[in-house]
Amino acid sequence: MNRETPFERLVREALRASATTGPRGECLDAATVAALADGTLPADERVAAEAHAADCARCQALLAAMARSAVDVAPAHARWWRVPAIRWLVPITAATAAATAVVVWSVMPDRSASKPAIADIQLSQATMTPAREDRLRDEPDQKKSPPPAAVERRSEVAQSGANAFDRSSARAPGGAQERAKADVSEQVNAKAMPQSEARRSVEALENISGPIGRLIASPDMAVRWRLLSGGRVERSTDAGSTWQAQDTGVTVTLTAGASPAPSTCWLVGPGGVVLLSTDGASWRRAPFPEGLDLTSVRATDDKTAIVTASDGRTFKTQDGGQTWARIPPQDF
Amino acid sequence: MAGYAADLDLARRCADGDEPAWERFILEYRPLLYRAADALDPSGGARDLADSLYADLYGLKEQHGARQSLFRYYQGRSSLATWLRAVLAQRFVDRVRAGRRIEPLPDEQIGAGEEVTRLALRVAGEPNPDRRVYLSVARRALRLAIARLSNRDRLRLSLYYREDLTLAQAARALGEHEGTASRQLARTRRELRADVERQLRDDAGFSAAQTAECFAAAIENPGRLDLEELFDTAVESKKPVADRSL
Repeated sequence: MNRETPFERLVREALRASATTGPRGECLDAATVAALADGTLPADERVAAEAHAADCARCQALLAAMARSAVDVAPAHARWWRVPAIRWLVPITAATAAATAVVVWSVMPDRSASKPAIADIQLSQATMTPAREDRLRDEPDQKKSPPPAAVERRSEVAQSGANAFDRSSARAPGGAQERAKADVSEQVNAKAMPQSEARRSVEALENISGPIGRLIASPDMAVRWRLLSGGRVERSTDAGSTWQAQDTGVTVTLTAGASPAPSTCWLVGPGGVVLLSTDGASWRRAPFPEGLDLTSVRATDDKTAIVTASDGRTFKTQDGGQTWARIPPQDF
Repeated sequence: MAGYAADLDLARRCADGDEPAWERFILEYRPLLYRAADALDPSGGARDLADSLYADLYGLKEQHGARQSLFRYYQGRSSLATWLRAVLAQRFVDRVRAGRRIEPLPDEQIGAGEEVTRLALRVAGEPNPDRRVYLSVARRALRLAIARLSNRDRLRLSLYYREDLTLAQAARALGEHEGTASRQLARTRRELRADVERQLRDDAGFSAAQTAECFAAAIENPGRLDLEELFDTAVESKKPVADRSL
């Protein structure tokens, strides 16, 4: 519901008509914007930055983008449960949970079979926490460790996905499970999770609520693709109301795609998999020179595309994927 | 800056090609960048920007035999996470704006003079021929009033109305509390109203009735409005701020 007053509408129009963009060199750089966001910019620099941004459309958009993207800014190592100063909370939490379970158990008049089970779950979750904390602290070395924590890791991945969804609320596409699947993909890309384990995680998530998949939008709002596990791809021509499965001829889970036209779509995946559809229905595999894990693709049409590998290298084709040339990164 | 020494050390080691540092960076910061990219573009369209960022951070380009990593621009003035988000936001904004240059938005297509003409044409069927003049005068007065605001007030106003941020987001962008931002926005609107009224009365010599006509001409709905409706402080203070404060 639009509850703006007429005066506010006038203000909005006037602001949109008046903001301009100064010469590029005068705009705020990333370091200044970041320091402004973290509150570490010296007062005089902050005043100067605000003076510029007050009349610069580009910098206003940049500050707005910073505000919108301020989801979970803490990297993995700085998550609150890994802060040494509050590690004492872990045994206290465990003890409290145990005590609560005992109290609940003792005061409940009806000791049906299900209630002890709930208490047991609470207790086991609480007592599991220190081990989980230690494992998280040693996360960078996890690749070397054996996989008994695999089940726990999967639940952690799903949990982190749910948290991310909660934080970004309505903005997140899909839902918590889609986010969890994306996080699984990220873990694979970061080589923190073996492919086989990631596959099991995705399948487990799908078993909960059916296929979800990464969405790829086309210029036509009604046409979109989604990537499912095992190389499965589906296409919708009614804005996602119904989906038609398509045969890609590959079995690896594709990681990314780009659709520069409603009937054109590029898909990439691990092992140098590049797929191209030019009719919106059938797929052909484009030859790729190396067996790299490809993580993203940008495309302007059915001839030109740029793919990025998990090691950061970027390749470009201008003949529909027949030949590829490695390209240097753009100047910053 | 000392607070970000660990981040700076990680960035330096990554720029120097330290593989364990790079692995640690990928592990810890990649999910963060993806979440930021998804927040910028929920359709996933910004993820390729996040991916391309890695190539620049890794430093594929060499100069004088040394890798030119984007990390060298990180000086520890903020957390590494925020800096990465700023670089991503910068690229995202530039891409969006580049797209708009190809397909201009109506606001950017039409200059100030043309806008007046366009809106005047919209009300050309009105019986009152003075509406065209009123339209021009009202908008000019408001733009002048906005230009007279302090930089911070103008920026807050722009983030809220032009960029459509929520109150909480606008407050975060300016490093102030949401309640403070709400109060400051309300004060700014009051100042704008007072300034526009003064200009119309003193500079343009408008009567109260003409001022009302002036604002009625300026809004999109050309129906008659009086100053009480336009400048209804009570209504304004209750509704609009709360509307996008989530």
